[in-house]
Amino acid sequence: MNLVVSKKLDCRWMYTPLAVVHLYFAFREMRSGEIIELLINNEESHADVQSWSRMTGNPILQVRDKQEHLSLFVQKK
Amino acid sequence: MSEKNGRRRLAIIASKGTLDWAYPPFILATAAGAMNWEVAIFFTFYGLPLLKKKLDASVSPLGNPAMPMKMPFGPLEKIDLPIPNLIMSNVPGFQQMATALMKKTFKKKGVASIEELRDMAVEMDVRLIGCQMTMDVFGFKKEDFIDEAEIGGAATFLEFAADANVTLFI
Repeated sequence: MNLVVSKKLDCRWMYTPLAVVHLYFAFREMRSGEIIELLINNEESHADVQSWSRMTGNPILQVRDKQEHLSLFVQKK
Repeated sequence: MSEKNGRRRLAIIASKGTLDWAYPPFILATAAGAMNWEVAIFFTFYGLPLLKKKLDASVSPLGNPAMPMKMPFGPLEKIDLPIPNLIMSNVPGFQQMATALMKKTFKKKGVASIEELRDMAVEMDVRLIGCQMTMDVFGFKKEDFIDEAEIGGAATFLEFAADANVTLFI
């Protein structure tokens, strides 16, 4: 699936709660339906973003394993 | 969920003002804010200085026996330095050094500073409530605090917490 990404957010080397906080601030500036590519490289951030997605209803469309990091494609609902 | 607007609520009492204990309230408040929860932190007793315009929270290894003392860089980075209490309590400036080491290590590891987390909380409209009683006892004035701070008491907190989904005393 080819996704049109509106914004790329690099949250590698960051700890809780920064990934979800940066997602929140980025989504405030975006429109419904737009997609963010979020780069993370620890399990904590992955777990956080999954919980955040369930709590806020903004879906994670795709997860790509890039060896050194994960790319999560998160859509604003 | 709050009856007023259907948002979830987090109510926190922050009662400790050391660098280590300053983290949990601000981390949880910003995480909840990121999920669009309504958040209020009630700062009381030693937590109150966390509202000061210029933060100066420090940490003491004295009385925190589980705190690892590590150098943030260099050959000693991986090694836990066993330092007797007798030295920690008697060497002048030891607490300042421990504080500087913790701040440096946190920064190097990618942990946000308390200042950054507090700015984010403000940006998310987290309510920051200072306890009047503590202010008067310890001699703080409203001008000492950031502009976003409001003043309240136990009932102020409880009114907010009455509709909270999560309430924490830290």
